[in-house]
Amino acid sequence: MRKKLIINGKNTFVLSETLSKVLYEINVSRNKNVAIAVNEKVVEKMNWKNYKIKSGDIIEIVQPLKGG
Amino acid sequence: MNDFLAIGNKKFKSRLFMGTSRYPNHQIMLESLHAGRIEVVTVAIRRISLKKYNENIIDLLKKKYFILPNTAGCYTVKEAVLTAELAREALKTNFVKLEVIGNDEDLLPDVENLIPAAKELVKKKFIVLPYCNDDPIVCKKLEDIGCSAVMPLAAPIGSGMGIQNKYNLKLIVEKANVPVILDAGVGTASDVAIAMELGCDGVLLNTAVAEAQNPKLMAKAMVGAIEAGRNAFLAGRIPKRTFARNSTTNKGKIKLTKIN
Repeated sequence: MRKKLIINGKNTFVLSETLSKVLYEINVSRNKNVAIAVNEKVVEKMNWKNYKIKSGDIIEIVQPLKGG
Repeated sequence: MNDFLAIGNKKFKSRLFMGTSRYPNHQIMLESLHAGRIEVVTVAIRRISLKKYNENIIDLLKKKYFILPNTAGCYTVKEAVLTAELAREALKTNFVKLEVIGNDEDLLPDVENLIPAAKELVKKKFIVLPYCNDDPIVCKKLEDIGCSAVMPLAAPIGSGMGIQNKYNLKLIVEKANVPVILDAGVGTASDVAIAMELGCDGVLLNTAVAEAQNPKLMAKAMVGAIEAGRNAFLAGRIPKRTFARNSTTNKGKIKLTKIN
């Protein structure tokens, strides 16, 4: 079933069931320094595979960038 | 001389911390970090692009540098704490430079939110280095709640105005039992030397080097100032007097006799 998520502030529609699969579906470039929060809670990388996504989830996908 | 800077469970030989933003390019950034004999670099945590390839700056830095993530641009306790938690997950480090600012014009710390954010992060076992005002009371409070260092500003971020309140900075240093790292507002090497002469344990800067006409040379100047200022502090300066005192004795000085 199609789910409506908010990923990095943007409405995004996905079919995937887990966080891991969402990342593939939306085809974002990933690296080992990417971190994710769902509904303001960090989801550790080892749990991405089993983390069930539901409609309305707010997802933040971040990584380190240049900063002072 | 074994003159290390200890923060949390880490010991650093270098007392100059540098940001990774605003350099003309990566090559100049890496050359400047090298010229400044840097160990600690700061990075920000930001949303990745959902459209284009995201370069990973950590690949450039991780081999040589200790990476200190910041919570730059956070306005609320919630934002800052979540950003710190994401940083811990992304970088596998408990260290965080905690920034909670009041607005995006002067980027000054918002103490009312900074202190509870620091408290929460200490509770969550972070090594918290808060960017704060040059206020001795605030610095003491941050220390008391368990911050591992305090990072009072010299002047607003990126302003290059140098230390605006030497007296406050001296009071902070005298009262602190944790390292004091001067953060933000440095313009040139003399600002760094003054901070170190006053007894600061280190300096964190970015724009002053990144936007200098020759960043690499400015980084070299900054680390020279760290060394000069640190040595002057350890050596113990003479007290200031409001009167002159000759350094050469008058004894044995020639005396002219009137010839007529």
